[in-house]
Amino acid sequence: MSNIKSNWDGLTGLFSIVFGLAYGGYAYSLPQPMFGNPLEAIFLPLTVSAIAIFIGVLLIITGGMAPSINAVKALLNENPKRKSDRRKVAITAIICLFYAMFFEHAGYVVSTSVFMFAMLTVTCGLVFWKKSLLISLIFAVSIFITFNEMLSVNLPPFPFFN
Amino acid sequence: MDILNSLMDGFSVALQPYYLFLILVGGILGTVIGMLPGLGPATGVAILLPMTFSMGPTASLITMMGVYIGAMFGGSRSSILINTPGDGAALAATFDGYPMAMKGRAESALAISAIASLIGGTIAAILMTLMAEPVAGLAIKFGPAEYCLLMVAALSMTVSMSKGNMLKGFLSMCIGLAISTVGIDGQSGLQRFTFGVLELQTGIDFLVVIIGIYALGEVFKSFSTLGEGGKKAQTKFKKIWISKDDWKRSKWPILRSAPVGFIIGALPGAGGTMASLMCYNNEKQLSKNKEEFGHGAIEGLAAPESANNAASIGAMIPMLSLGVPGSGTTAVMMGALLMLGIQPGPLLFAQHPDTAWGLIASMFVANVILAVVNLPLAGVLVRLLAIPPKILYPIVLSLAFVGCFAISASVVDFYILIILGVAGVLMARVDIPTSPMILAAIVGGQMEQSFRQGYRISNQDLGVFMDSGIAQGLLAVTVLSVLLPLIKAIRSKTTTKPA
Amino acid sequence: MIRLKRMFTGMVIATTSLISINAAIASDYPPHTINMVAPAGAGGGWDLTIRTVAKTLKDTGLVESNMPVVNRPGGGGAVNLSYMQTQTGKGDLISVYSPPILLTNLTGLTQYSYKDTTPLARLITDYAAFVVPENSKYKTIKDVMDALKEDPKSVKIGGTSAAGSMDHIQFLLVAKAAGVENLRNIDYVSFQNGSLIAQALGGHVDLISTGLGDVAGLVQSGKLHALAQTADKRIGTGLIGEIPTVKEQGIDVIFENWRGLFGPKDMPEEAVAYWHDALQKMVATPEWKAALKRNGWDDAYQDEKAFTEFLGDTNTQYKTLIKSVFGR
Repeated sequence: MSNIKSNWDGLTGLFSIVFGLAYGGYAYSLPQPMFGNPLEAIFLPLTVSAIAIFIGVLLIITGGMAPSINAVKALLNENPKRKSDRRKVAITAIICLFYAMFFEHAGYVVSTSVFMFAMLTVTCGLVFWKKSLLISLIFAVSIFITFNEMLSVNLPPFPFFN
Repeated sequence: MDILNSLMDGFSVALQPYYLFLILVGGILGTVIGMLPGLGPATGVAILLPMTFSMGPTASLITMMGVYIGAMFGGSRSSILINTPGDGAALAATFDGYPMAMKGRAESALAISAIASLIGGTIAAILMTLMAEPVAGLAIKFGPAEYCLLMVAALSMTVSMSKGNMLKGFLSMCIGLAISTVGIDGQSGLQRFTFGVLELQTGIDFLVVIIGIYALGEVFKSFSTLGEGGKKAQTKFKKIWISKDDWKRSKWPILRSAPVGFIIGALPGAGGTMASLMCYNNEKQLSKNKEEFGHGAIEGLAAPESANNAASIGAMIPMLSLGVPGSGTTAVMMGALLMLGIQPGPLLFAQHPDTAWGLIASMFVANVILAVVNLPLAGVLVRLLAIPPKILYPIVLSLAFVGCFAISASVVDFYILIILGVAGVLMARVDIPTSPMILAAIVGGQMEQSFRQGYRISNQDLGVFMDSGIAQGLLAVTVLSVLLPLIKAIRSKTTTKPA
Repeated sequence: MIRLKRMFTGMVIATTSLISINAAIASDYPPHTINMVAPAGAGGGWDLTIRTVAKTLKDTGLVESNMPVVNRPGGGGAVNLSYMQTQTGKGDLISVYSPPILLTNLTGLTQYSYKDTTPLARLITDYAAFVVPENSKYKTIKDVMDALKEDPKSVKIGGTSAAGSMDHIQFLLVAKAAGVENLRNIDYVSFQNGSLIAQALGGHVDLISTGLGDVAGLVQSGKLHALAQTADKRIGTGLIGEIPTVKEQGIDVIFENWRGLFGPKDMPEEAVAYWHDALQKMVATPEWKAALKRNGWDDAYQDEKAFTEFLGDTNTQYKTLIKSVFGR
């Protein structure tokens, strides 16, 4: 088993096929446009979907599924260090999602301070929380002032203000 | 001779201390705005516009010129230092600029970027002085068919040269094309792939794709190196300058890229992004040390920087000689001109020669001033790298979000940004190259729309795509760019195998 | 640590005082801050209009409140329109709109219409212009319509907006009035990358449907030839003043690309009255008149009652057109 090399070609191929089918299927189910030849609007999407499916099939044929299964196994048995890295990526993504959700409701300064603080905690740990808090606040306030006052790009202001 | 005299008159305007001061102030403001992700020259000029109204037309225009060129200089600063391009035209600067900074050569990168910008901008300004009319004439010869072929040429160049697995490169391109089809389709009015989300009706801005993949992806990827060792904060800084060898390598790429960038910039709607990408690819094809591209090759930074500034000057041509805005920035500038009571277009040089020639002269002056200002400025900026990555990365992340908000003023794009950032990490993990996807997302929309414009105008006759000389030329470029790497690959196989 | 604490208390004080200011001004109009919204990005027509209005009101002292301009782009204004639904009954948001507020609703891009807002005033208007390259074989708009009657595919119409949006509709409106049938078969080509006018200069499209203001300069220079414009009278001077109206050529229709101000639905009465007053005074000021002249805008002031009536009429007119084109 271990003499089969591990790569992701097979799984990528599978993804490519699924992507092609989903994208093409959605394109096909779009309503008829009001103007012009109805096929024109979905010509490119259908072509793209066909190419994606074709690439998927080729990848599976050339790569085979076994190396991909190996790669997944290798991923599961990775050393704890790499695992914790991946957990950090996941946590960051989740923090970003929360940031997006609260951005408009909490206003720029509040949401960004919290976001920066959370991110700094992820990268530096809680030991330096005072420093982190200070950096977060200074960053959020200075960016807010720069964009709102000097560049007239309106970031969401403080809550309760309006 | 006539032109020279007029230009000299222009210089006598632009070199007055008051105007020099305005160029300097505008240029510095432009550089700062250009550096911020998501804010490019168009925003910069729009923001500073109201402040310049009281100054009178010539002063106002010259200030805007300073801002414009300053933003072009500044755009690549953040590409080089934090892998987050300030605007589309600075995208190509990330390819080799950021790897250079990672290798501890940020000083050379910043220096060559300023030098290449200066030379590219100056060559373009000379071309502009001498050939504004014929280039404008060439630009309007570009109909939908020619635009379509231009986009196809750009796309084929980049996909055929993407490193690694060709199949995966094509898959990446497909995803990029899929991204470019989101939104209301111009030719049919149909909503495609918007999933009922209003914000998606205007499509996904390619800058969001770039920021997502580069800035977020970079931060995500960095976690594996953050813990121990990996990239450390830079503590020692050298002078912002380049070595003789660097110059020898960059000299020709800079000189070659300027005219190409100038002409692509002069096409309404093509612009600096396309120009810098195409010149990057050219250099990669021509270069002897191809493998070094993408890993900090100095010519890979010099060429797009030169092209990008040349394109920004080229973009002034449609506005000045045709009265047609050729890019977002020139559209804003043209609005400003109208407000100041000046009608850009064929009559401009006859009606307001001092303003027109003063503007052209100020292009020369602004390029020189900005290059001079940028070198010491870069010395300050490079200290960004002294911030430990642990703190720098959260800041980059925040800047990416605020830049994204500046582009679209909508939180919906935040989600897209996050999805793309995660996708960028996954793609890197399974060895799918990301650059074909980004390029497809940039050119895909225009490629499809131009194709259908041409197809519709010609009454469903595909012949238009081969009729004109320009079209044939572009077709030839496309075919060559696909065939050359193939031939080279086959040749190297046949020559190495027998041995 | 002490510094941090102090900062924190400072923030608490700041936020609470903000709340109290907010509560104090809620009782009488105008509030301390009124958001002026452009439902598009910086640099476009909507953006310019709202910025000019805010500046004029501020400079003339007619409105003392803070009037920050907010850009809320997306969906041809539809994103802001749905945002306005969350502000129903409030008086501190003023947005600028033009015909797309009717069109996006009628073509089904958004469920909200002008009825989900409080129209405050119509301010200015531009008109549609139909422009051909210098050496075009079409000399009058009648020529174009006759050719279209013969063969709807014979003239290719270019515009900036997407198919089914303003540039397209304004042409169809005229074509319908001229008696062209099979409106749906006319080929409209959308150039959204900003190259439209260059395409006309290069002769790549037969005719472009655009705003009079957008092509005035090129028409003046003689590089483009305007066949007709859609005002009810001739506009401007020089070559612009020589552009005939479609009415003169026997096509009985006018199209106005008006711009007006809207508040959220169910805006308080005192707010409506306040804006009636402020805007009526504003349009009479020399500052506003200078701005009109500078931007080449045609004055088209209507107060909220006349404007609401106008919107109703125009909406019916577009509805019939869209019904006959879209078949729904």
